[in-house]
Amino acid sequence: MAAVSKQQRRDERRTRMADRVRSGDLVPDTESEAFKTIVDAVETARPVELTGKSRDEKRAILDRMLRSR
Amino acid sequence: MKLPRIEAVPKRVLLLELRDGTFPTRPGIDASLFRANMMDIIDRIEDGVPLPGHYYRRSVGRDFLLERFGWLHLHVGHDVDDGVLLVVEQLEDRVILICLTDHTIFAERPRARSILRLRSKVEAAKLRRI
Repeated sequence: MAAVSKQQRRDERRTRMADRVRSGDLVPDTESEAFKTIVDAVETARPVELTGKSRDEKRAILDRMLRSR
Repeated sequence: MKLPRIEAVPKRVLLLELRDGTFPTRPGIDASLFRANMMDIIDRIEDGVPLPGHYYRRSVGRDFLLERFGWLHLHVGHDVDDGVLLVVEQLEDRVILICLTDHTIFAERPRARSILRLRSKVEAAKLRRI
């Protein structure tokens, strides 16, 4: 059986916590640094710019981003 | 900016993206149903055309999101689901689309707690040079 690396376990833990945050199950009382670290690790801060793209490209981006999980 | 409406001047439009490649959406909302209305809003903002009145609704009492964070809530669910809101932040030169949610955010304690975590993402988007 392949060993699960420490990093892998850490990533899985962060993903689970982020899922709980996203679902509303886990809500931080304060904007603690620990919470921010989890969210930052799991979510990207990259914004997607639509301006300058063709209408078809914009539709494709929206189709991709608005798909159901 | 804390204007209650999107200014009728051309602005760039950005969306926040989660790590899984999706737009932040409250669980239970089928985001794909609102694609057409979101495209309509995006096109109008980019063209500097005023948004139709049905995307705005007079708030009962104070608009917490606008007063506290400068976030506007647009009634993107027009003709689809009146309860669904598109939260955006308007800057002088751009508009950041933040999330799809619903009116339950106004009943949450602390208010809008389910979307507060997106603030750091919005700040990062503001810092991005475009």
